[in-house]
Amino acid sequence: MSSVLEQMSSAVSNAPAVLQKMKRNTGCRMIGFFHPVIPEELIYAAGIHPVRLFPYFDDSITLADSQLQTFLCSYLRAEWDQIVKGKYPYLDGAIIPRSCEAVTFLYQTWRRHNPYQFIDYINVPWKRSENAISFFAKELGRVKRDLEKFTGREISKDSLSSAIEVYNRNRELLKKVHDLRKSKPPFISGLQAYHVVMSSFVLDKREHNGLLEQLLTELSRRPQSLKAEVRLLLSGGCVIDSRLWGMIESGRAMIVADDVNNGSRTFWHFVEDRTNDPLEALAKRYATVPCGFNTSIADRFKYISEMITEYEANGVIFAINKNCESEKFVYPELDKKVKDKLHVPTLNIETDYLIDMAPLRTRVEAFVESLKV
Amino acid sequence: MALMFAGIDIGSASTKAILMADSQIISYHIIPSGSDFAESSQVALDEALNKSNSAFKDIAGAVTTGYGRYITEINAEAVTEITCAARGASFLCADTKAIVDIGGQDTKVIKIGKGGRVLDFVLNDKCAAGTGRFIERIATSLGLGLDEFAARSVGSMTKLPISSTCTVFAETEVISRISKGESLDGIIRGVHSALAARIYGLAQRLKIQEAVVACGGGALNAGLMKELRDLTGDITLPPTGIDPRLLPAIGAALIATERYALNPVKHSKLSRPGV
Amino acid sequence: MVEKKKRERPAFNRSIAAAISKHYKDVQTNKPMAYLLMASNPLVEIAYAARIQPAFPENYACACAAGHASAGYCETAEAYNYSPDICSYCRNHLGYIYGPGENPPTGGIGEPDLLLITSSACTHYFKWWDALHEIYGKPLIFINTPRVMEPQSKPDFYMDYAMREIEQAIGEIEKAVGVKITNDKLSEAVKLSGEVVDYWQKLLEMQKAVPCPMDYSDLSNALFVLIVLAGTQEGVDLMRETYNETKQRVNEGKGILSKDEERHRLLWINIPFWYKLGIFGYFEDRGCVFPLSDYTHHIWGTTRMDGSKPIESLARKALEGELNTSVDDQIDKLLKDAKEYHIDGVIAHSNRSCRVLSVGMLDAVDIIREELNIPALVLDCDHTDERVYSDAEIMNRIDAFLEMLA
Ligand code: SF4
Ligand code: SF4
Repeated sequence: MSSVLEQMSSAVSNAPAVLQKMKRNTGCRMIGFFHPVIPEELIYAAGIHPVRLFPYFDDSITLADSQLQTFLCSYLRAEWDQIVKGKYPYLDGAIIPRSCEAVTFLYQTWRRHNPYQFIDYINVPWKRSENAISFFAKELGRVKRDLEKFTGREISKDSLSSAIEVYNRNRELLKKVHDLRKSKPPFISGLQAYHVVMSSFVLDKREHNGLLEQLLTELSRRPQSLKAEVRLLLSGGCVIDSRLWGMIESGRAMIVADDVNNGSRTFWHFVEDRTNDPLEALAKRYATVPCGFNTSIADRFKYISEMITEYEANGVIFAINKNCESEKFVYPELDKKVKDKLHVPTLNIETDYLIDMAPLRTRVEAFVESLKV
Repeated sequence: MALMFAGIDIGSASTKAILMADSQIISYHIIPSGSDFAESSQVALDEALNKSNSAFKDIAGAVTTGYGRYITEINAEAVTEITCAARGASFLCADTKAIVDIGGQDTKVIKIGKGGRVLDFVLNDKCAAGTGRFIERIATSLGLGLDEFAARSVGSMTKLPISSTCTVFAETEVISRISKGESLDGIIRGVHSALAARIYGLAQRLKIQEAVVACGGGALNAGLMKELRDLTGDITLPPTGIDPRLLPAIGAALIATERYALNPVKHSKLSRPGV
Repeated sequence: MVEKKKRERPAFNRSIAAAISKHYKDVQTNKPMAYLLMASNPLVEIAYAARIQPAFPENYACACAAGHASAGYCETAEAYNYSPDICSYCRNHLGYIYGPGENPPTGGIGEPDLLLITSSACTHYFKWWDALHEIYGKPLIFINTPRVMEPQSKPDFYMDYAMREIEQAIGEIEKAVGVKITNDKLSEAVKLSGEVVDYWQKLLEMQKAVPCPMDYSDLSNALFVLIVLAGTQEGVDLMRETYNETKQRVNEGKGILSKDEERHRLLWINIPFWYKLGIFGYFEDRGCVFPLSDYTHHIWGTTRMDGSKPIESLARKALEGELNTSVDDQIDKLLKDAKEYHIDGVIAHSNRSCRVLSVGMLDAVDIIREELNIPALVLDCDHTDERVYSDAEIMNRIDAFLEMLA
């Protein structure tokens, strides 16, 4: 494996230590957030390091149960459990979107028990109309003021524009890496791509851009020899369990494209740069992120079918977390469309925090066997 | 001679009958509940009567409790096991402020006030795997008896945490980890510790600070008790010689006594089919 | 054992029952018909102003549950891949669509010509209507409004957005059904809706009386008028009738229980078990009444409507409903009202379907326990899916709670 890939995957598996070290070395503030709909540029421009929140420790959920019922998404319960246990001392606060219901719930619990200094909630619109975008821009303006109050420093238009530039560059590079999966066989596995994307949630974006450039050169010089008899698209909400990605690819299949919160949805669309109104540009872009909660079945189908065609996937695996309501609600009609209109076979598996992979493996293997050409 | 009262606790796992007079235990009997609650309550009571050489007609009053409290054919007043357990606990340990009752069907944390009055209580959330059944199922799926299961947990130096909260998932998790060669005893201890953590979380909801008395079948499990003690130092068992499963039955007999004192006529009309 | 008593129910229940069966006939025959949701939202008044017949799949789920048809419908929906994680109101409806069976309760809820939706409650709404849009291919008109976490410091642009969304939706509805929604018609509907709300608020206020004049099922019957008939003269008349009768009951000192019988006044948090409304009778037989619930008191019917400012009133209606605010706000209201309604115990239904109303409940219960020093019981269950309900378990918990109160 390339050294850059190793670096990235270790940044993911040691995220808390990496961040703790960054905090020690730079002293910078850190704000956590959920889901790809939070305009990170805003946080970045405020001189704060944005960190996407995931339960990084494998630890059974004990304390969270007295606040969050077990019928809520277990990733979020685990995250909250670990926060309550004080496992993320480097955080200074969080910004939580109105995205899936569970996240909004977590916000409510969070603000009541407020474990850090800063907490904010962003009303992400569930629509992409003009009304919605201009509202979203105002909402971002409000959050911008909250952040300015928190740091005591103005977020200038210039710093916003340059944050947008850094982020767009990151998206461009991530997209290039993603495109390496188009070839047959793909130049990079799904699990590797997972680490590439997930490491962007931990590392500083400029540093990450550097690593991505290095990775692209490395891979073009020394292509990996990978095998993919079956090409899969992975769809779901937050598919954050690396064991799952690894398990799916342990046989003859490879994940060549994904439609998940911690994958392509994060970098698929660009922010219009060099505009007069960066907030408006951010609003426009972040209202478009195709997450489960804000995207109609028709739009999701469009997103997936383009992906299936472009990346020549022969099957779709829906890996939806237990209690992930928005994804579960989209799944039945979306699945029907994929099968009826694209004639692409699908498999539905239910994941859960720290779930045992063995039963899932049986299903995935049988599915892959049925697809083998 | 002092009047005799009976407390019959028909739980999901076992049925307990106790006879008391003058606030003293005369005799008791515990049997598995099986599928016929009416039958098991009769058998348990008859056995208790046998042990004390007394007859059904000697019972001045009785209270039934537990899940089967209405199903029994003994015509006695029914009171829930929560009220009864609290009463029983405060009788045995006068200054108990709280108990955890770890039963087969559910786990309860009960806050107790003066005279064994229930001040508040919480039960496990339906799917939180917070009951004794969790340990039982995993023991069964590994083909181990409960005693051995607990003993292995106590003897294990390592603790391998079990992550699944769902009993069914935990079962497969345990099996697949064992097949991967992880330490069996470590995993068994992990199972006990997972249940202990959930029980502890439940107790946190009532913000219990004082010493807690453990009862119910789970209190017989040394492995579980050890893990619970690791989490909260302040947990004790009922006085020696008293089976921790007996608390609700004792409470029931005491309540029968009190009710008889209030209204001797109604409560003495105890009957059962064929007697 | 405690005796089961037959109690005389207020007469308005009969009038409401008649209105309900009329409504379910109307949804089958009147055209155009639109599906709407129940949470506090502006579309009901707009629909009436446009002479669109509204139908409410959530209310239909209650009817199905009461008729014990929900478990079957939920099963059907699950067979069509709708996960049990999804609210049983939705599964009930989707199951009904995919397999209504021969005798659906109330004769069914009909096929919509239009789908009208807002985001003023849970994420399910948009997802549910979007699935219906796929199934029926009928136009979907969606009013997106922000969630208001801090009602006291709500930014002005929240209202602006809500108002603009409403105006835009009105235009889209006009286009979809080819009717002009004049200002007069809209004002009229808003004014009538306001009158319903005013009576409703007075009705709730009377629940403070000892003995409590109505029981939970009477009140949830009246909810039908508040929500489904908001914006109609029929609604105003019915609510006035309900109010007048209740007022008379209070004046005569008549309650569900007599003054002597009424020993405990309990707060019910969350939606009731629609398939087991008899549970309230069980409590009454044991001296307990439910004068207060977030479900009847807080989640709707709280916005005063002004016929002269229809759009603004409608926008406030969308933003102020409790499902659109924060748990902190909900807890404050519960604390305040629990005192005013002389509450001495809490039954909280942790409803695995309706997470909006259930999350934060554990905290809420803790806070109420501490601040008011009254006992609380949490019941894990579901409002519609009867398969989740276990009688032995629930009743055991309730009995223990009642013994504790006694
Ligand atoms: S997995 Fe689903 S429910 Fe959980 S945080 Fe992600 S989107 Fe929300
Ligand atoms: S979850 Fe609650 S708010 Fe959402 S549809 Fe179901 S009952 Fe209504």
